[in-house]
Amino acid sequence: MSRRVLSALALALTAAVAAPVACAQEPAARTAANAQEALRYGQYDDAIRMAKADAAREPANSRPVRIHADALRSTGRYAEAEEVLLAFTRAYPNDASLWNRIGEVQRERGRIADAAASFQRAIAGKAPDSLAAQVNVAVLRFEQGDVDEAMKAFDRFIDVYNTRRGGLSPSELEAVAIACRYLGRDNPQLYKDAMRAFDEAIAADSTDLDRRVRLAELFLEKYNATDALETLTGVLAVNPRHARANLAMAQVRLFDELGSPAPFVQTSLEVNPALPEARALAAVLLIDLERYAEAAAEARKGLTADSSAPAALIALAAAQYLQHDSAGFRASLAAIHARQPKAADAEAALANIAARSRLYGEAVRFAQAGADRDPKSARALSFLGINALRTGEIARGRAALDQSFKLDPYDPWSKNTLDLLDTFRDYEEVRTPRFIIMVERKDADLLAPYAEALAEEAYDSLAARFGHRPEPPIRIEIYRSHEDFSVRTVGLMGLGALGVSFGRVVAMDSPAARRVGEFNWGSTLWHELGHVFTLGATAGRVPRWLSEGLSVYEERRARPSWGEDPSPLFFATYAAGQLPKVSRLNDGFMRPAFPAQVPLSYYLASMVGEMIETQRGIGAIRDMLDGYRRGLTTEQVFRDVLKVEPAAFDEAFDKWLRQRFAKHFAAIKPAMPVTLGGRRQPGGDAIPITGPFLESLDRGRALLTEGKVDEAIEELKKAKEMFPEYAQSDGPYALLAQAYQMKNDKRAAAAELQAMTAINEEAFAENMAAAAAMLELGDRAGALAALDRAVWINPFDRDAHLKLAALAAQVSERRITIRERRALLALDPTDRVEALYQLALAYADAGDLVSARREVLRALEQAPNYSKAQDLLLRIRSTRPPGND
Amino acid sequence: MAVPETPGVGVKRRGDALWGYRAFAVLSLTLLLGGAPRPVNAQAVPRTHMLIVTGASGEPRFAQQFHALAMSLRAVATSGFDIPDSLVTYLAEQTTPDPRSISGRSTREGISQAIDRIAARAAPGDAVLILLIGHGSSEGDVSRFNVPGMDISDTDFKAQLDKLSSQVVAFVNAASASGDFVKTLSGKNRVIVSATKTGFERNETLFAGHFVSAYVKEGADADKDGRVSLLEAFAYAKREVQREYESTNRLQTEHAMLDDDGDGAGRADPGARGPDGMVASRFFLQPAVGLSSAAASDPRVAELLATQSRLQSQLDSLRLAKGIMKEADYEKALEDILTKIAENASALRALGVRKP
Repeated sequence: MSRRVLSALALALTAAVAAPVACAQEPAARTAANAQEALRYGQYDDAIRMAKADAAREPANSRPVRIHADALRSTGRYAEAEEVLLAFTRAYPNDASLWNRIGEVQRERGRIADAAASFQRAIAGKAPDSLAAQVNVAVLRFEQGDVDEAMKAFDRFIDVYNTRRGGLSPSELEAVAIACRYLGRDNPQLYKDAMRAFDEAIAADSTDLDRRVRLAELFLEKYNATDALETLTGVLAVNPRHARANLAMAQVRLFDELGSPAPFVQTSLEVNPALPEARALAAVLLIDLERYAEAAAEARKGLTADSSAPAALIALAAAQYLQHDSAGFRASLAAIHARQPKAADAEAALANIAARSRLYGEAVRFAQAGADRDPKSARALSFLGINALRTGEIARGRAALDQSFKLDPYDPWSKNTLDLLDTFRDYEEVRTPRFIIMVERKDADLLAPYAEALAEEAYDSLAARFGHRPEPPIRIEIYRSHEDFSVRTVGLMGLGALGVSFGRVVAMDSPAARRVGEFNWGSTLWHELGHVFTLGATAGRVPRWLSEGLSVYEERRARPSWGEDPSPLFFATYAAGQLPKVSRLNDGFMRPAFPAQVPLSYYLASMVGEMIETQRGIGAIRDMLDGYRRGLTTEQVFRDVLKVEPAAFDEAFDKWLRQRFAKHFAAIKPAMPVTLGGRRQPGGDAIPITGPFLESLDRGRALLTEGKVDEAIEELKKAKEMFPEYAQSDGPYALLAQAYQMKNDKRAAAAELQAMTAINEEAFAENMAAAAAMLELGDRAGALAALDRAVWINPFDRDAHLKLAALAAQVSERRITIRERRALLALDPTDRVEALYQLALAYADAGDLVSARREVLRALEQAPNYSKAQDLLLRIRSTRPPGND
Repeated sequence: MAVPETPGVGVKRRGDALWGYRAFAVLSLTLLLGGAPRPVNAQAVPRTHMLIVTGASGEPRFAQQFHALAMSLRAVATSGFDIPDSLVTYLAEQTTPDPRSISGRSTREGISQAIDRIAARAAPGDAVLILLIGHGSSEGDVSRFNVPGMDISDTDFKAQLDKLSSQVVAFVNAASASGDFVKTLSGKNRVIVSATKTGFERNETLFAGHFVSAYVKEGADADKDGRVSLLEAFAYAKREVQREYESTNRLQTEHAMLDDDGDGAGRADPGARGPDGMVASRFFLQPAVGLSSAAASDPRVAELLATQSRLQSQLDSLRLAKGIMKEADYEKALEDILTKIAENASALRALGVRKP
């Protein structure tokens, strides 16, 4: 799952995420000349001290009181802020200048009725910010479900702007901006007016940081992270402790994947521990890690100032839902609905959280409920559309996205997905007994036969393994471009994955979408189908680490060369303690400490599967899946199903892995201390690797370069012995093959190539070379296997199909011959008639005279005098039973 | 348009209404047109003349490549297609690579003289293939083929081709920037092929290699009649060029064109049914398959050939009805006719007719 989806979720919550990692920085030493400046610089204690002093000097002046209260609010001391403000109004009952502020604080405390009354007193008292109070009243009405009246009220601000444009104060312009933002619900163009009003307000008074943060939030709401980032950077340069600015910055980071949001959320919460949206975001991040109980606790902290704060309640509801706390979930949802009777925010956010937790059916149900509550909720409709597509409901998904896009034409997810849906006309659907395979029309004849056969084979294999039979049809979508696949998966471009499984819908890159050697489309399909079974067996509750691990494990079981292989980096990072323990393995996928941790975690997780089956049998894996289906957490699955404490399992796995790969761990070492400056080395290429394996490999390569072939062979053999699974193009096998070729020892060279390609799933050229070498040596079975591997790497290579077809015919592998002849025909051959004839011949040899007749007639229709085809037609007809004309 | 009277180039007369569409497909029908089979090597069989020109190479690798292609085509023409050595002229940048095979240098004058010689000895109805392999250029209204010395332009060639007005001429400019030759040289009984669509496609071309391969390798004979027509060679080369660009992930910078209806506008997708492609579909380098004297005088052969002609006509009619008839009816009728054709062909082969 892309982290971009998270950003959409974060936006839905209008808050960001947190993780307790970094320390908040103290603001740079700056001398504030007065309380207002101290507040602006984030020196809140100074601001309070100075404002109090100012108030003591001028007790009738409301300004220092407001500064005092704002400093308290900024640090989460809402009750004190309210009291300070009320004290002033009690002393000066005829001064209405603070009632709007009092209303705002009361709203922040969840006292909506009091807030509404305070706003009214500001309006009645003709306070300088009475226009702001009017917009606040309208916002409350909107949130309370009185949408029509609220919209009428917002609409009046257009008139205010038009009639008093030149005379509006900055806060009045901001009120207009807020009104326009709400009016954008009916007319998306008014978002632009909102931004213009904000711009004018900021131009009139650039010192108000809160206003600039609100503008940034609006930018983000409309998916404009670039301007949001610029705005927030400016704010944080003045006040690095601005809680909402830090929160918004975390959202920007999530949106644009600019880095970890954690430091910003952490700062936000350090400054204002009661900020509900920040707590909500922290909870959502914990949900991502499937740490639901901690997420619920974090969300509850967001309810301290306002017990019905929507963002925190939504996060709490999500955590409760995923913990199967039905009563708690219903109570939380009811509290949200009581606060926001007609809003779809909760359902939209829950839909997104469900989708992020691979519960796509639930996501559809939540989103539909949201759209039912608020038919104008573009976000609920967008989630409904995208998740309906994920569950295979194409028409329903398109309809929802169409509606969503009309309401919010700025939404890139809806726009991209609708654009993608338009391309579906270039695809065709091929049906098999248990699958619908959608593949680009021009490649359908080539790819579908492979995908059909593999998918059906995988179904039987995986059903037997996991004891679960997903209900057909399972939909497989093979995308012609990686961008299209990415949009299909996360609504945006830039996803790094090759395939994705949404349950009973699989989407993946076509082999046409990537360069040859970048991936194996057969193993990718098998991997994704593995998810179909593990997700299905657990009702979507399998944690990602186990689902990925089992899929990789099943790849290896399907074909020896398929599946993630161990790498030197794996052993080095594992030895350095830089890979998560099994009980925390989800972190390696969801919160990787360094980029390479993700692929390394795939392999690690696959080894967990291997160990469990080796020691306890496949039944143990099935039992684990059943445990997840019943709602157990990973800890509970270890304890209740495997009867082992998580820590003990971690220890047992570590011991098993180190035994299984004892010689590898001895041959590969991290080259330098793994900690630098008290922080973990980020990994990847930054972890130099040393040890006997690489030393032998380097020596062997150097000797080969010097022409000392025999010595090179000896050295490379040592390297191979130390790490026989390393079959990359720079590894011992490739170099040994090269060395043997230099010695003209074709048999030995072929053996190395064969061994290499039996491990490396992406080595197209090496498979072709191995096939040629083995053919030369008369090893037709070996050559056939190499060519069969090759077409799963590059199905567009005519030569591979041609050789495989000819070889398969020679060894009477008739099914392969037919498949390859079909492939050659699908590749739009120049000599189409010959291709048709050869296909007909293959069918005839396999005894399928009906197909043979069909194809030979197609050949003769174009070339009626083709004598070989004529002979075949006559032969076919001569074998036809009498009367069966 | 009129179908040219070019006995060696293809079939010439319409036998019935369908001939306009595919009379050319049945090679042996040439034997029927006079009412009786004609033995092979009879007098009046038109001859094929070839002029292969490799231009200024610029680099040794191009010189080697051009020469290899020219020699390859020359070899298959003289050995495989029985074109007399005397009718094949190969002009090159230098004669040194193979003085016995290279007739002279490919200068502007050398080319003109070679065409003059062909014009002098070619009989009406003879076929002439002129193939240019090399680099071209285009500036303003003038397109040129780069040769040693002064380049030769499209208008130069126009003047030369006018000397071959009674022959069927296939002019294949496989050089870069050759597209504008089509407009200049287009004419009656002429097939003009360019490797590029316009003079602006100036990168080195792949077309020549694949065009020669169409005759040298297997795979271009799309209708399996045993010969490769110029149309088939063009289609083969065009497709292989496209495939090579695709397989190497390059943007295609050459788009071959063919014109043979005389309108000066080339087409990328000519077909045997025209408007462009009809003449090319009947332009062959390989000789038509004929009958031995014994077979030609065998009345059973004549009857079988007549049957073959009738069945072929029926097939043509049926194919025209495809899409109108019910699919099942079409398939059944198709199988019936194709079976009869196959049986008839088998009977002919039994009588020693190699390729009916």
